[in-house]
Amino acid sequence: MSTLALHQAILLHRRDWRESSALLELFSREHGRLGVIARGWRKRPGWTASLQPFQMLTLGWSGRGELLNLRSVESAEQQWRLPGRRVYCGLYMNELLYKLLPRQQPEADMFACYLQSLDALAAGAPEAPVLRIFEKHLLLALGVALPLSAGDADIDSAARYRFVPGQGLHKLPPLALANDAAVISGDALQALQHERFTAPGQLAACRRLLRLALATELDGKTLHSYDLLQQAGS
Amino acid sequence: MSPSSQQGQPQQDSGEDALQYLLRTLQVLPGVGQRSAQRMALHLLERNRSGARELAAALQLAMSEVRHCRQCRNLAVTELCGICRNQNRDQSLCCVVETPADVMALEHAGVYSGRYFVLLGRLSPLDGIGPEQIGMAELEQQLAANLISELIVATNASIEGEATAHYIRELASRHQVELTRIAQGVPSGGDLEYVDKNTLALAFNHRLPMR
Repeated sequence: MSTLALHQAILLHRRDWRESSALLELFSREHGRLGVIARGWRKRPGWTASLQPFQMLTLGWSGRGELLNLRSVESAEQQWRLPGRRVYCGLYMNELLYKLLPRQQPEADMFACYLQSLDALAAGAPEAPVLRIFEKHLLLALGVALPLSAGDADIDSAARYRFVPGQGLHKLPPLALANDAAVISGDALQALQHERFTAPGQLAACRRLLRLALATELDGKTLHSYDLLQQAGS
Repeated sequence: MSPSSQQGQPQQDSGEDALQYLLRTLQVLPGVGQRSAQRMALHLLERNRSGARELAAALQLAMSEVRHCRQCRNLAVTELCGICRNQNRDQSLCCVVETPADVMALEHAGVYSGRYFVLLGRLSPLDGIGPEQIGMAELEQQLAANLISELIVATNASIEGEATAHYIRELASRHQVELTRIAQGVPSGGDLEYVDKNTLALAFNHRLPMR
């Protein structure tokens, strides 16, 4: 019998599947988002406690095609405790990954960003910057035309830009009269590019822009955890 | 939904005889597939027809009589369930649980003499279940009416249970109602060596002074 390869992954969502099984949506380090079936999971010792979100799991699975079969679960080596409303932030990130990442497409950078975000949330860092940086990396992973990687061309901090879905950012002429959600200051864009928010208002401006870009990607799908965050006043 | 199914009339498929219809409908039960359905149908038809008639009547009656309690949302045959009507129970104590099965477990344990609020689910944004679906508006009304002195959260020890507990905490603090949560830790009679890491961590974080 060949040895089962083990993979590191974090559970995004678990849903009941048929009578006694569960369908796990995982985000794995090497293979991106995956759908894995855990057969009879409630009766397997240790599976119920381990198969929870926000834990680094070491899993073995078999099969090919869209849905794989879970074969082994090693107890979680790392766990992120997200107290209070931070659990909503964690669920928000999970919902975004679940709804936007295609299955079985490796996303190593995004996985690293997800881990960093969980670290920051568990360590008590302010939530808004963590979420904005996460959203930016997710949009970059999805190939959205936002010139926001560290190495991208200079953004003029004194200018204003308009985000056009499918095209990216257009610099506005200095005296253009435009003040809708798609317009953002160069200053706020620079803050997002360098992931350092210093002036008040930058985070709110970036949130509007990222929301707009994400809404285009979500294509009408509702983000339920975003509503929860809103109600809780983030 | 067709008008006939709304009235609970049979939805026998054309070309399906009474036996096939029974075999198919028995499979609505959890854990019952084709083989078990066949075993049950043959048992009822060949060995216990009177029992089968009684079962049919009981199902009919339960479907028309059983609803959700106006106050706690648990299954009930009257507008207010037996627990909510019972004046010997402390009606100012309210324990929030996810399902009617949780109420049954707590009642069976016989350790609690207040009333309940049954969520009939838990906050689970990825399944599209938000505060409205789990009766948070009703719970808030009850908190605002000042009838509850202590709210006890007994949601499951899962991430969704945690998110639900946090939502309830916000509600309780808005209405200044005392909020407690059932303890989590080592099961009674359990050996530490077999307890999983997360449970041990919770048990340590929630340790109590020894008196």
